[in-house]
Amino acid sequence: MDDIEKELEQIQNESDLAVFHKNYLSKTGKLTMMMSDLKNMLPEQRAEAGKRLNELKRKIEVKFFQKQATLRAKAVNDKLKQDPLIDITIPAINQPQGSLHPITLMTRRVVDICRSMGFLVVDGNEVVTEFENFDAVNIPSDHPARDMQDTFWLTNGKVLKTQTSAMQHAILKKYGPVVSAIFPGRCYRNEATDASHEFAFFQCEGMMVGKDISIANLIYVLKTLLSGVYGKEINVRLRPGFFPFVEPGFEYDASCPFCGGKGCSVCKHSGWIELGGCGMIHSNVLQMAGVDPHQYQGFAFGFGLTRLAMMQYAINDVRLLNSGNLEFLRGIKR
Amino acid sequence: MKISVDWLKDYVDLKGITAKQIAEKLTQITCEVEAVVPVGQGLESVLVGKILTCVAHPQSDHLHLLTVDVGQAQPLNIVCGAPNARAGLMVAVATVGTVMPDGMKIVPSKIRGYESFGMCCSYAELGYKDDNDGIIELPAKTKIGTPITKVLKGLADDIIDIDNKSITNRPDLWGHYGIARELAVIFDRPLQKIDTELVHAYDHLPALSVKIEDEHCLSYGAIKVGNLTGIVSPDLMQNRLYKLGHNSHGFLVDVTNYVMLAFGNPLHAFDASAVDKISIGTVNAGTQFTTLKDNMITATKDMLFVKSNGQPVALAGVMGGKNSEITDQTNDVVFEIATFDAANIRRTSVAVGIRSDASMRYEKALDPELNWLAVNETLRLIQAYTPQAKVQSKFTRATSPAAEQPALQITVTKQMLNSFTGVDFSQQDAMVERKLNALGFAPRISADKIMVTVPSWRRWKDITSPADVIEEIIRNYGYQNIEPVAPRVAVVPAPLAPQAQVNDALKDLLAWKYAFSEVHTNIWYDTKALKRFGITAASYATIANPFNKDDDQIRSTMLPSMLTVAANNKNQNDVRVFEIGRVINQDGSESEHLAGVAVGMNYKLVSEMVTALLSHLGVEIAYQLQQTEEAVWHPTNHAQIMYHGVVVGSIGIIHPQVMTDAVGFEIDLSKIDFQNVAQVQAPILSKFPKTELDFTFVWQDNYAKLDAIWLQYHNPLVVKRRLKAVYGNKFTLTFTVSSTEKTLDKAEINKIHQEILDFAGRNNLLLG
Repeated sequence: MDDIEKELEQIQNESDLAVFHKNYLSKTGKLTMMMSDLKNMLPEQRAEAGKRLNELKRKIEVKFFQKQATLRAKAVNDKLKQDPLIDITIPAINQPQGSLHPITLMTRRVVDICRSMGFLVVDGNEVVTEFENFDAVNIPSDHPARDMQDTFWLTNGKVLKTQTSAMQHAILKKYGPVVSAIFPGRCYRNEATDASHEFAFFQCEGMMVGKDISIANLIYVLKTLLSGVYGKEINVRLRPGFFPFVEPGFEYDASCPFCGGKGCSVCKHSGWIELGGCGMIHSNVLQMAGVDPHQYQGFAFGFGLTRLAMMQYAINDVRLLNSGNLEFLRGIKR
Repeated sequence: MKISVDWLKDYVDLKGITAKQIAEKLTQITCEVEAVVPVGQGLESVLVGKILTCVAHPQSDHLHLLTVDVGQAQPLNIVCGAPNARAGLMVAVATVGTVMPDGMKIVPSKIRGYESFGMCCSYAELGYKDDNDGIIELPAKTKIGTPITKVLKGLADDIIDIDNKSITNRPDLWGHYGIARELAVIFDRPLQKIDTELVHAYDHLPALSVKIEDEHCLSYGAIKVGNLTGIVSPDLMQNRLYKLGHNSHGFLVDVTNYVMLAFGNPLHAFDASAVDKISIGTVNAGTQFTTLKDNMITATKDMLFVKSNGQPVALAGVMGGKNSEITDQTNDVVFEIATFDAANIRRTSVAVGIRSDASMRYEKALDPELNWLAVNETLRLIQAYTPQAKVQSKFTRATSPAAEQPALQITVTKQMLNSFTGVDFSQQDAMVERKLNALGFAPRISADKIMVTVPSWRRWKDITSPADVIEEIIRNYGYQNIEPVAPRVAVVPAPLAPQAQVNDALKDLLAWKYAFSEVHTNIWYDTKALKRFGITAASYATIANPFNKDDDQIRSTMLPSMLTVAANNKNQNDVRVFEIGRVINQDGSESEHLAGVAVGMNYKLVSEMVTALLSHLGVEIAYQLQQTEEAVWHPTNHAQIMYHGVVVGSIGIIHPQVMTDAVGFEIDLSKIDFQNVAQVQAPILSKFPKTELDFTFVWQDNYAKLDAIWLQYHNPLVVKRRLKAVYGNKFTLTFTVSSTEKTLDKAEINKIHQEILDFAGRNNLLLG
C-alpha cells in the first residue's frame, strides 16, 4: 500500500496523475477491482477487509485530490510566467469620446440646486411674441429699455427671445399667484460678435411670488443658490440697477468663488463678480398676468448661464461655445 | 455720462471726500460708476515762469532760445518753438521730471546743439482746454514759481464715468446738479440752492411769439439775446467742456452745452434772423428737412418740428436745422429751452437714426420745471462773461396741458415697507425723514405710514408707486444692511420637469455611451453652408433684421446645422455630433428636435443606437423605408422613423455629394409623448424552460415589411420574436417559446414550429 502512496507522491504532472487515476481509482482501477473482489471472500473476512480497503481508498483519494489541486495551481502559475508582459501604463488610445456642452453641465448644476430648494423648472420657446418679450414685462413700445437690447425681429412680428424674462408672464399665468420657478433658456441678441458677445447665449431666471416675499428673502435665495452651485459659502451684494420689470431693481454681485474674495483674474481683482439683475417684480407685471399686486408680491432674478460656464471652465472666448469645435468641446468633461 | 468732480463742488460741499469715495457711494446707492479718471495729475512741477530773454535759434527758422525765471536760483535755458514766445511773457513751464498728460516725460535734452531744461506748455498740452495756438499767456501779475495747478482752476480734477444704462430711469441725473443732489443726500451735506429769479429781470421786455400746436411739446421757452458774436468762452467753461469731451465752438455754442451738462436740460441756439413766429408741431408727411449736420430727413406725420412762420427750423428735441444754424455772421440768437415728450422723441430719433445729446436726454422724460434752472444759468453766464450782450426779449414760455400735472402724493404704509423689504424699519423714522427730505420728497411720517410728495424732477416716469418710494428709502438705508432671511413658504415637492429629464437622459446616453458630442447652433440656417452642401431646407419664419443679410431663414430642420458642424470638424477623428434644439414648423409652432450626424460610423450602428436611445425611454420605434429626392439624403438608404404609426423623424445615409461616409438622424421629440409610454413592468420570469426557434427566410424587400407580416402572427406561447441576423436577403428570426405554467414537451414545441412554418407558407415566405 505504501507503494501506491509513494507512486502518487512522485507524480509531477497532470497526465501522469490521470494515468494514476486510471490505474487505481477508475472503474477499472486496481482499488476498485479489489473492492469488487471482496465479494469472493469469506463473509467473516469480508467485513474486516472491506473496512481496511475502504479506509485505504479514501486515504488515497484525499491524497489524489490534494495532488491534483497542487499540480493545477502549479500549471496555472507556470503558464502565467510565460504570459507576455503587458504595459499596463498605456492609457486609452483612440477611444471615441463624447461630451456634453458646458452650458448643459452648468445648467444641470443650477437646476439641481434649485429643485432641491423647491423651485419648479420651466422650459420656454425661443421664438416668442413681442408682448411676452417686452410689454408683459413692463417694456412698452416707446420705452427706452427696448434700445438696451438689440432684438432679432421676425417678419411675422414675433421676436427671438432676448431675455428669459419673456417667460415670466406665461409662468405667472399658469402657476401663479404662489409660485417658485426657475426658467433657463437660450436667448438671442442682434449685435456684432466678439470674444465676449454672441448672438445666442443662455440665461437663467428665477422668481418667487407669494405673500410677504421680501428683498431679504431674495438675498437669502441668491446666496443659498450660489453657495450650492459653487459648493462653498458665497456672499451676495445688491446695488441699484434698472430693469423695467422690477421695482426696486438691483444689480447683484457674488463674492468671487474662485479666490474667495481675495481678488483674482476672474473677478478682475475686485473680489466680486457682477452676476445679473434682480428685484421685486413690478406690480404692472403681476397685474398683467392676473396676479393681484395688493395681495401678492415676489422677486425675480436672472443671471447668465453662459457667463457662469465661461468662468467655470475658464473659457476666454464666448464664440467657442457655439463653434461646434470638437477639440474644444471634448476637452470639457464634467 | 462723464461728470467732473470739480464742477460738482459748485453745488455741494465735498470737502474731505475723495473721488473714489464718491464713486463707491454712487455705485452702492445711485448708479453704476464705470471709472474714475484723474486728469491734470502730477502737474505740480509745471511752474509759472517769466521769459527773461528770447532769441532766435541759430540753426532753426522757427525755434527760440529762452531763459525763463521759474523762481529757482538760476533761470532755465529752454528751446521753444511757439510762435508767441517773447521776452516778458508769463508762461507755464513744465520743469524736468514732469510727466505730461500724454505720457511724455520732460528730461534735459539737446535740440539742434542747444540744451533745454523744460518746456513751455500750451493749454492743450496740459490737457486744460482745446487750445493749441502757441504757449499759454498768463496775466503779468501771476506769481513766478507758482504751481500751475493753483493758477488754472479745474486743471486737476477727477472725471467720473457713469454707465448711461444705469440712469436710464433717472432723468434727474443727466446733469451735474442732479448728481450733486444725490451726493448731498448720501453724505448728508447741504445742496446749493439755485436762484431762479434772474430771468424775471427781463419780464418787462417784449415777448416772442411761441405757440405749442402739439401736446408732445410739453413746454417751450425762448429768449432772444443780441450782440453775441465772436465771444471766446471763459477758461473755466472751456476747461469743463473739454474734460467732458466737448471742444469749444465759441461762447454762443459753448453756453448751450454747458447749461445742458450742468442741469440736464438741452438747449438749442437759433440764428435769430432765421426765426420769427415760433410754433411747435407736426408738418406734412414727406416734407424734406436738412439738419445742421446735413442729415436729410423725410418727415412722418408724427415727427415734432420747431417751425418759424410755419416752416421747420429744427427737428424738435433731436437736432437743429441747416436753415437756422449759428454761423460766423450770427449776431443775435434765440435760445430754445424746452421739454418734449419722451416717447415721441425716442421714436423720431430711432426713425431718423440720429442720437444726439439732446434726444438722449429728452427720451428719459425730463422735468419741464428744469427749464427755469436752465434759463437762469444761461442768463447768469451771459451776464458774467459777455457784458456787451443784450437780452432783447423776455423768456417767453408756453406749456401744454400735459406739462401741468398735479402734485403726486404717495403713501407707503410701514407694514408694506417692512413686508416688502424684510427689514424692521420701526426705529428708522429719523433716517427715513432726513433722506427723503434731502431728496425733495417732503415726507410726513405718522405712526403707521409715510406720505410723500414727489418732487417735479422725479415726477416723470420715475417715481410712480409705493415701491418706488420704498426703493428711495432702502437704497439710502444701505442694501448691505439688509440681512438675508429664509422665505416662509409651504414645503411642496418641486414638480418634475419631464421634458428636461428626457433630454438629460438622451444627452447622457449619446455622450457617454455612444461618444457623441453635444453642440449648440443658431436657430437660423447658415445659408452659405446650405449652398456649399448643395441642399435646400424649408423655412417657415424669416428674420426681418438678420445680422448677416442672407442668414434670415429660421430652420425647420436641424440636420443642416449638424452637417455644418461636422464639416467644420474635418480635422477631428470620430466626428459624432448632436444637438437638442428648436425649429419652427410650417404651422408656426415651435418644436424640440434631436438631430445628429456621425462621420465614419456605419449606418447599422447609428440606426441601432437610435432604436436603443428611445427604447431606453420606453419608446419603441420602427424604421420605414422612404425613397427620397431630398438632396441631403441618400436616395434609397433613408428611412422614416415611426412611432405608433406616426412619422417622428428621419434617419439615413447622407448623400455623398453633401458629405461622404456620414449618417444623419433627426427626431421631432415633441411628437413623442414620453410621459405616456406604457408603464414599465418587471418581466415575469418563468420557472419553466424557454426554447428558441430560429427560422431563416429569403426576403427581397426591407425588414419593416417582413416585420409587418409577422406582426399578424400571434400565439400566447410565443413570448418574443426578434431579428437575429441579416445576410444579404436572408433574415433570421428567433421565436422564443415558453409557458408560465409548465414545461412544454417536444410535441407541443413541434406543434408551434409547424404553426410558424404554416404561417410563413400562407404568406409566401421561403425558407432560406
